[in-house]
Parts: sequence; C-alpha cells; structure tokens
Amino acid sequence: MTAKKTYSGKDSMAGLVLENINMLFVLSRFGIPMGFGESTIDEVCRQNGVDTPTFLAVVNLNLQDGPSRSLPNGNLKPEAITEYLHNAHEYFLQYRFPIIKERLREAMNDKDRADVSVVVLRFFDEYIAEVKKHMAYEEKNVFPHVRNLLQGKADNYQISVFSKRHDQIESRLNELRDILIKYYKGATGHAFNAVLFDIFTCAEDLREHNEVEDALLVPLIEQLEKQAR
Amino acid sequence: MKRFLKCMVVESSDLLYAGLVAMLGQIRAGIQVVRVQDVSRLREQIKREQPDVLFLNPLDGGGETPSKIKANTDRPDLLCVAFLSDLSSLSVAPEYDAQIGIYDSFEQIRDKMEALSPKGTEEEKTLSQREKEIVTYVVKGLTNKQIADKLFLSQHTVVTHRRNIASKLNIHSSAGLTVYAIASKLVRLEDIGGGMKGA
Repeated sequence: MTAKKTYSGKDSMAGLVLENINMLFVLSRFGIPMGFGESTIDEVCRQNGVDTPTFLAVVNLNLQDGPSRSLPNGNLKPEAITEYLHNAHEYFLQYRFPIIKERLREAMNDKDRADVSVVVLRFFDEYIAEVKKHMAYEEKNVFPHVRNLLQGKADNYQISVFSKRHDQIESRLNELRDILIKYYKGATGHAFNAVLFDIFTCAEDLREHNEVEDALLVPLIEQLEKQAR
Repeated sequence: MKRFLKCMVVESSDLLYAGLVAMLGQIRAGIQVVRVQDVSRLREQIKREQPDVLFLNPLDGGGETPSKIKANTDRPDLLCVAFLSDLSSLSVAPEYDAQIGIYDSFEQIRDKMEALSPKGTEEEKTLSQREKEIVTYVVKGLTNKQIADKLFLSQHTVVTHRRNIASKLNIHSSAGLTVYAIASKLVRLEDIGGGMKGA
C-alpha cells in the first residue's frame, strides 16, 4: 500500500502514464493517442475532445488503493463515463478475454494433463458468458437510462436495481488463478506463468472498471434521478 | 488475521485517515479501505460494502455507537474499533471491540488488530476424506439429495459439508470446483461426462 499521487489538469500527461503504467488502459478507453510531448493532462484532453474532470475522476479513482469514495464536485459528465465504460466492455470482450483464452490454450498443452486444460477452458468460457451477460445488461438498461435522464425522458428503470445485481465479476477470475496456483501440481513453463500473470492483471483491471461504475456512475445517476423527481 | 480484509473508516482528518491506511497496509497485504465521507450515510454504506472492521473516530461519529450500528445494519459480527485522535474521548470507548489511538506505536496497533481476529482462524485448509468424497459427487453433477442418499447423510449435513468445502478451498462456483477436482486428480475427466472436445 504505497501512497499515490492525486493528479490535476496541470500535471503532465506523459508523466501520468510514466508514473502509472496501467493508465495506458484508461487512455485507450478514452480514445487518447500517445505522443503527448510536454502537454498537460488538460491540454491533451481538450485536444481529444475528452472532458477533463471526468478523465481525472477516473484516473484518480483508479490510483487510490482503497476507494475513498469522495465524489468530485458534481461537474462530471455522465455521458463521458458511460462512453468510457462502453469502450471498456468492448476491450474486455473483443480483445482481452480472447487473448487470455488463446494463451491458456497454448500454455496448457501438456498431453499428460489434457484433462485440466479441458476444464480450465470450460471454466473460462462460462466466465466469459457470465461477464458478457453482465455487460450486456448495462448496455441495454443502465446506459440508455442515463441518456433518458439527461434528455429529461421518463423511463421505468431505477439504478438501485443495478446496485443490487452488481456482482463481483473479478472474483471468479481470481478463483481460477488461485486454483491453478494452489492445486495444479507440476504446472510450469514461461507461457503458463505468463498467462497466470495476465489473469491477475485482467482481474485488477476489471476491479477498477467496477470501481468506476460503483463510485462514479451509480452516485451520479442517483443524483440525476433525484433531480428528475 | 483473516478477518480484517475490508475496512471502513470514519475519520474527517485527511492526514489521520492517510496515516491509518498506511499503517494498516503495513500490517497486512491486500487490505481494502473504504472511507465514509458523510456519517449520515454510514449505515447504508455498511450494508452496501459489508466491511469486516469499522474504524470510527467517536468525534466524527455524529452520535453513532457500535451497538446502534450493529443493530441497525444487521451486522452483529462487525468489529468496531474506536480511532481516538483525542485522549479525552477514552471514556466513550468501552463499547468498542478495540481502541487505537494516534499515539500508539506500530507494534501496539498490530497486536490489537491481531487480538481482534478470532482464535484459530488459520483452520485446517485440507479437505477431510468425507469432504473429498462429496467434492467428487458434486463435480459429477449429483444433487444434494442424491449425495445425501448415497452417503446416508441428511441433506442438511451435505449442505454444511459443501459450505465448509467452499470456505476451506475458497472456491465458490461449481466450475471452479471441477477445475480443482481434476487438477488435484480427485476425479477423472471421463467421470464427469466431459469428452476431450476443445482440448
């Protein structure tokens, strides 16, 4: 638990990424390309049409070890957050999960233990299906609800429903990692350990993704719902 | 020290909050800390976050006491620690499960936190023979009732066994249990009706 810096718009964008390499994920989800030179976070955001307060809220939330759940003063753009989350969904489903699956398949090709490979891939497929369902629910219900609220249109959805069904989707991924580390005797090789590492970072990434939903999006929607009433 | 993984803190001073978080991090890796900014939402947040331990500075508590909090959040097991920034508040602390003060040393705080964890939390992690048997049946797709009939147990006992298995292994899905059973050679793939498709 090391102390992390809280960033402001005047800090250098390159500095942010160099000091926190996992911010690369955040940048691509906001659609911000590399090559910042000495520009500040605020300058880079403006050049790319990204709302700076929202960008900083996501960045600082991800950098806090324990979420302090302090909402930045109400000038966040809900639509910027939903777009960010939508891009993250695409990233996980279209890019990250398929790569991990492929790497699992390659890493677990020990002919004597083909049985393990079968059940692990089955586990992973079930897991992807579950996450897909979860994300599809948000795309179908939560994001349109935000758009409706912003346009002053009434709908029957309430964000409190979502808070209840929001599962800890990263914990099942960690379950797989833990089982392999603790009980798969004799598993070895660069590829195997590398894919374990991938699973670990992917679960972390998912945890941060859920944090943005829980700590930024849900309270914002609660606020909008209150105003609409 | 298994019990305090998720902590919630009510402390209005940023400086004291950061100090507490830093020290908890030195005591145990992977501790999650949630800060409550608005004490009027404390109960709601406890219900939502389900922390293991609550650190409450009585000066910031807005009239909340451990007994009220535990009763109103339906969490009689919630450990409440008084975080004292002021020596004069010592008298309010008896109701708490423990108290730590800003002048405590690192060792004192660590010992107090360790004393909070119930004895014997590092319980046996390996499965008993009976539990292994049950794992194999679960993985083969038998229902609790079928398992109970096979082993001449009540369904209730089977459920208890399954709960113990889940907490010993920290595996909570049946897909996870299957991976465990195959990887540790408790069952063979043929036994669970899985062909080599996709291998």
